[in-house]
Amino acid sequence: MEPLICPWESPTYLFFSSNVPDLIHYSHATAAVVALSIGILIFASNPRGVLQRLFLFLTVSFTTWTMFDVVLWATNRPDVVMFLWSLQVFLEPLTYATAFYLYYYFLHKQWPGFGINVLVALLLMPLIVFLPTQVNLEALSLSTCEAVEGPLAKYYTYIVHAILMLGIITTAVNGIPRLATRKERPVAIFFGIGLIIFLLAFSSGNIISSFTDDWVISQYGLFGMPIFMGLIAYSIVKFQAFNIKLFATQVLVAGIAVLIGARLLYSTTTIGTILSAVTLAAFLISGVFLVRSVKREIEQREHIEKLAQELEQTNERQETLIHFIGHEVKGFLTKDMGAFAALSEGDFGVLPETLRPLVVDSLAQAREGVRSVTDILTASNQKKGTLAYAREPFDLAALVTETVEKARSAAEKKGLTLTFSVDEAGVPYTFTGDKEKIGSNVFRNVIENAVNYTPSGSVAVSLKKENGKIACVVQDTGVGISDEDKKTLFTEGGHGKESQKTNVHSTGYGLYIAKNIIEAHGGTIRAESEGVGKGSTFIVEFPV
Amino acid sequence: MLEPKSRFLLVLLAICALASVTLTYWDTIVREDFVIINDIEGDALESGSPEEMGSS
Repeated sequence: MEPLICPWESPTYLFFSSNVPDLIHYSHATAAVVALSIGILIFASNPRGVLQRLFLFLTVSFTTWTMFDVVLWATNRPDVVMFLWSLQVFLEPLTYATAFYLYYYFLHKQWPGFGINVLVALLLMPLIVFLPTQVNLEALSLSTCEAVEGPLAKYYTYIVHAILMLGIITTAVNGIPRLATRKERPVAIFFGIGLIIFLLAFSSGNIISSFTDDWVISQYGLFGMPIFMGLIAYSIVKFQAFNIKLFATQVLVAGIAVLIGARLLYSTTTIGTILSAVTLAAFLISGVFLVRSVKREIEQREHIEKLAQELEQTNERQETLIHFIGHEVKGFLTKDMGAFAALSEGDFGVLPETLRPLVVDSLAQAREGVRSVTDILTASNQKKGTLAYAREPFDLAALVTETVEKARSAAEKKGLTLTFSVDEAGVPYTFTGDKEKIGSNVFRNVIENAVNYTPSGSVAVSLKKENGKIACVVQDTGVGISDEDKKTLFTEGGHGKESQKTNVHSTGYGLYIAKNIIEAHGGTIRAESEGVGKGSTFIVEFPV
Repeated sequence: MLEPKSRFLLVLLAICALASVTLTYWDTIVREDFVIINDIEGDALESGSPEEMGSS
């Protein structure tokens, strides 16, 4: 008895016969080759990884389905059709189930609970049990060599697809908001979208074909496979450093390369083949350069971001250290100050005259030390923005007068003439601000600087109201300021070269602190000088 | 790692799937035990197993 066969020739090499529509090889070969290649590459990157193994299983089950599909088109043997079609009915939901586990593990880094596993097993069990029965495939139509699908193949598989798709969506909705870092969220979203579109593209064609019996339609869905496989693969490999720009560039280049390359399969003339090959080669070369340049740009940006982060951390550590050391040192010096003050005031008896100058000098040095450390701490607080200012009205003229008087003894010791004039004497120069900080960190600093940096001559302090501002001008006949030093005068640690020769103990923080305090009160400070040896003028202005 | 209960379930499912595929192969390829609808001849529509339908 002659076996019944479908009305076309036997296939050559399993996949080729006159029954196969033109698009079949193009869509199937592309999808299968790309999917399997990506699956193997991903697996090879980390063979022990669960995600990598699941992804390989996904690509293998999908590729197997694809290969069976081409054989189904090509073969003229009913028994082969019935066997492979039955297997395909199981492979599709298996691919969906694998996709669900892949996404679940991707998000949660662990397997689902036993309850979920039982549910998936129960969903797949009817497919397994009824696979060899007419509930799956009822019969074969000899004219088309197509199976007549039973309720299992026609309805149940797609119910399973819908449930597993819902599982993926539910996993995404629950899992994505719980991700530890914000950087992981776009990765998880893209991965989820890629997976869903892959599955929909895979089965939507089959669903339509099941109900219309037009199996050519199902082939179009496979065109989308390479892109979405790439999307999923990229998410897995680059989870830690996902970058949409680089990924988009790579997918674009790879996708177009595959489409141009697939064209080679359908070239019927030598010239056509050569042209397709040349186009592919040229495109690949330019594509590689494009991807490289995008990757370099992204790496540079990431490097800069990393350096900025390290710098911020280093600054924070430095600030903490400064504060710690500053407080500790200030504590020691304050104790010394207390001891020397007690000695000089005779709390422990009358000091021998030979010892008195030493004690008085030590007390002054300790005070100076405390002040220097306090300046450093104040500057540090200003940088951090943690310095608080009191706001109360006070008489600015009285404050300047007091500060000038405090500096008078030091000026007289150096033989300097220290003068103070107030425009509209007697008129109150009322100002609202932090009196203590303005007095000690602004006026005392500026006036003491003028005295310290004037070897001989005079220091003239004046106070006036003009143009809606209170201006305090401190003019000296001192060492002057070079143009180079003017640039760093008000910066943190900014010493002038000449100033260091005159005052080696300068911390370089005084004017920096003064400027910050003045600006916090809405004022300005500037320095004018005609050059080295030609004196300086400091102008402090506050709004009325 | 999958917990032991889930691993057992997976192994059970794999064994059942393998058994089902083997049975499908036996029924289709070896025994050819399925219905063929012979709709090639147009108005002479017949259906039956390949043995019944086999042309002489």
